Amino acid sequence: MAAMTLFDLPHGSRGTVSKIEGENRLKRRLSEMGLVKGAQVEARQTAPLGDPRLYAVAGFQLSLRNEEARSVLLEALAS
Amino acid sequence: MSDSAPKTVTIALAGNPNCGKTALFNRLTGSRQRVANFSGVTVSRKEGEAHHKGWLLRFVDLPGTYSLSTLTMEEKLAQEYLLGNDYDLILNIMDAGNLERNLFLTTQLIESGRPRFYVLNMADEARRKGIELDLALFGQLLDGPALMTVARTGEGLEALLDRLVADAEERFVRRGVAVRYDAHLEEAIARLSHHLQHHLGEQPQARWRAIQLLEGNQGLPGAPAPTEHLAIQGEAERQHLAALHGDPAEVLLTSGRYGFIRGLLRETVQQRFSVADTVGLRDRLDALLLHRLLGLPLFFLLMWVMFQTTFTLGKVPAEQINALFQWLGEQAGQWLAPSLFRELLTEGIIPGVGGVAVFLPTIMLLFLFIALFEDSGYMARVAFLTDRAMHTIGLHGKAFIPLLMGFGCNVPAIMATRAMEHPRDRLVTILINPFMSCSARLPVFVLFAGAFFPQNEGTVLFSVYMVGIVTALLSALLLKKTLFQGISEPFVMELPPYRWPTLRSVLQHMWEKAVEFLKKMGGVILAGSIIIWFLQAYPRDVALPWQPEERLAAIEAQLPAGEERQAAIKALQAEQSAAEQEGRYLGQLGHWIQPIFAPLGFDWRTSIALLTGFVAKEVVISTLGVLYHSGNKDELQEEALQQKLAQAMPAHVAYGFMLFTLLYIPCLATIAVIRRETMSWRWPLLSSLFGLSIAWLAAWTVHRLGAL
Repeated sequence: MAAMTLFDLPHGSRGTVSKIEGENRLKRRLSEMGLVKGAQVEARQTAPLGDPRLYAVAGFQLSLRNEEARSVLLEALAS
Repeated sequence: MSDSAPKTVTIALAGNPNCGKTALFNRLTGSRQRVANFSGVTVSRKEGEAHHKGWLLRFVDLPGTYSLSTLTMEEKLAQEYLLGNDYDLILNIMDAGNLERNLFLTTQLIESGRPRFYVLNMADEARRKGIELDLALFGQLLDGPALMTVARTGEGLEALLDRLVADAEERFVRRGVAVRYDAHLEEAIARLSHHLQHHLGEQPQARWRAIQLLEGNQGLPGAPAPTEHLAIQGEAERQHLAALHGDPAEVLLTSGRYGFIRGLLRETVQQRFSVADTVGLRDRLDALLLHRLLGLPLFFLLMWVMFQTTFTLGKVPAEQINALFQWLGEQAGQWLAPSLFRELLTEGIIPGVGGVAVFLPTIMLLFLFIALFEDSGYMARVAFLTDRAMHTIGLHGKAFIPLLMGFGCNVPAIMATRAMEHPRDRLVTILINPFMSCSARLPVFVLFAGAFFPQNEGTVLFSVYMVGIVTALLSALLLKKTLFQGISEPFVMELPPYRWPTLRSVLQHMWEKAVEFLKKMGGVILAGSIIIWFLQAYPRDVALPWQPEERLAAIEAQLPAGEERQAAIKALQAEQSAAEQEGRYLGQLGHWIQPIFAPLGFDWRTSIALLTGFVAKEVVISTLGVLYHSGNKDELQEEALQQKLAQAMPAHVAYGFMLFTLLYIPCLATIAVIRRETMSWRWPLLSSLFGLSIAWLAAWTVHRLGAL
């Protein structure tokens, strides 16, 4: 099974970032906004047309396109 | 620093977007501000001054950035400035309620090695969130004084000025700290800074430069270029680290910085109570405004309110401005002796400038709403709501508002694209903006729709607007596929908390834009009006094929004095002025270019109307009024003109003319603003040629189809 990404996170639930994939430019931008290994992220809302989505990270709200959210891998849930 | 009074220091304001940096800057400097551009680019920066206790404090407001990498223009410029020597102190402003991400920039500022002073702004919001901070320890760990402020209310600003002056007296002495990374990174940094010192001599910012090399930031602005040897060294270290950790060095450094930040916050911040209760309002508002079904309708409702208010409220001052210019024209006509100068004033400059000044209320009101959306935090939500649709045509959600504003006036709309970070997206948004039909074009459409399609006016108007929108969308796609190819920019955007806009900042925003509009457009409009006036006033004597005096005498002989005779004389005068117009340079030009328009079914009159419409689109009507001699400029009779037009061309040609007016060339003010915003003549020229070609093709297609 492929690793769970930020895109797969259901609304209202939290995940922990394990790794970011994709080209360096995107990796860098995402990590600068607080999406680094170990960061807690909560999925919040989806835009009316299904894309982008809203996440809470590092104490603020960040919107990402689904394409970008798919490149953020999450740690497998312990439970 | 000399000891002669006043003692001066320059302080650079650095901080994230949405941290209240500009509000603080405005509070500190009051009206003593000026706008400067970074050389060669359109990003502007504000500079201002404050006098305090015998010191002159010069503040420079750098662009708000999340980091100092070189990904966007703003970041590049902020970094360039901070690397230079034009300032004494960095005033790092943070949102006290959102420290974790705000501190990221701080870690990079620490690495610059320059003295820093920390302002934790929006302290009231932080208090409401239950955040308590050990300021003394915070300042000690980050090696600089730290203060709490609330820029909106002015809380803490006096203390800030006191501390800044005290710090200046001490010459901003710092002990020096560093953000420490894990062993592998530190080893790489040590090796690179050793190489740097070895090759370039003693470097005050060696650690920063080493880190920049490690991050892969090419060609450091304002610094000696890294030699080829150094670049190779840097690349080798990067590859070594990537192989070791599976992540590029810049991501490792970023992780390290966030590690440092979490450590710092653990030591200095206490959370008094859970945040869950305080963010309730934000979440409830988002649940409504970003709702999957209601979000877009609510947005369109707000936009409808914006346009309704703009046009109903804007009408009153617009009419007054119109009356003012008419009065000015009459006064000039009365008090000046008949002369060329009087004619230039009353027929060129006054109506020309007045015709554009009439849009000032519309522009100011549009900017009032934009300021409200911006300051309340709704603007980012609009980008969020519309991004999916905009992405389809290769643009960003942030392009939506400027395009929508185009329906009001393209000039403020193009000025509003400044909020867009990526130059490529911004240029595309600017270039397609003139296709959004502005309010000046509406009277032309109403006139033609009434004359040719009296049964379906509404449908015809709607179709014209839709053609404009579809053209804009297709052009965006075309531009993205040709001139502006490249990777699409990621949509990594913060949605700031909702905040009450302050009257002060909203009014200031509106006022600044209005002044900018007047200053920058004034000259161009003036010049344009003079040129068009000259073309329709010269040559003075036009040889007519018939003698007006003879015809007048004939009328007077045939008709008894009375209404009938007056009407006949009026008709004669109108015919005469139309015939004279035909002989003037503008008329000659109309005849000369008419072959270009012949395939579209346009005669020389409509060709001339399009030429004058270049100054401002609504001028098309008054020109047609003169040329179809339905009356002179002052007493234009719309119905008479509509009748004459309906006889002069078939309906499909008229529709082609409407489309041509919609698409052809941006008006003079729009050309001027494109020139200002892109700092080049290339883009207004391209926009004009592109518009003309599309307009021609559209009108030609309509003409061909109509002739079938």
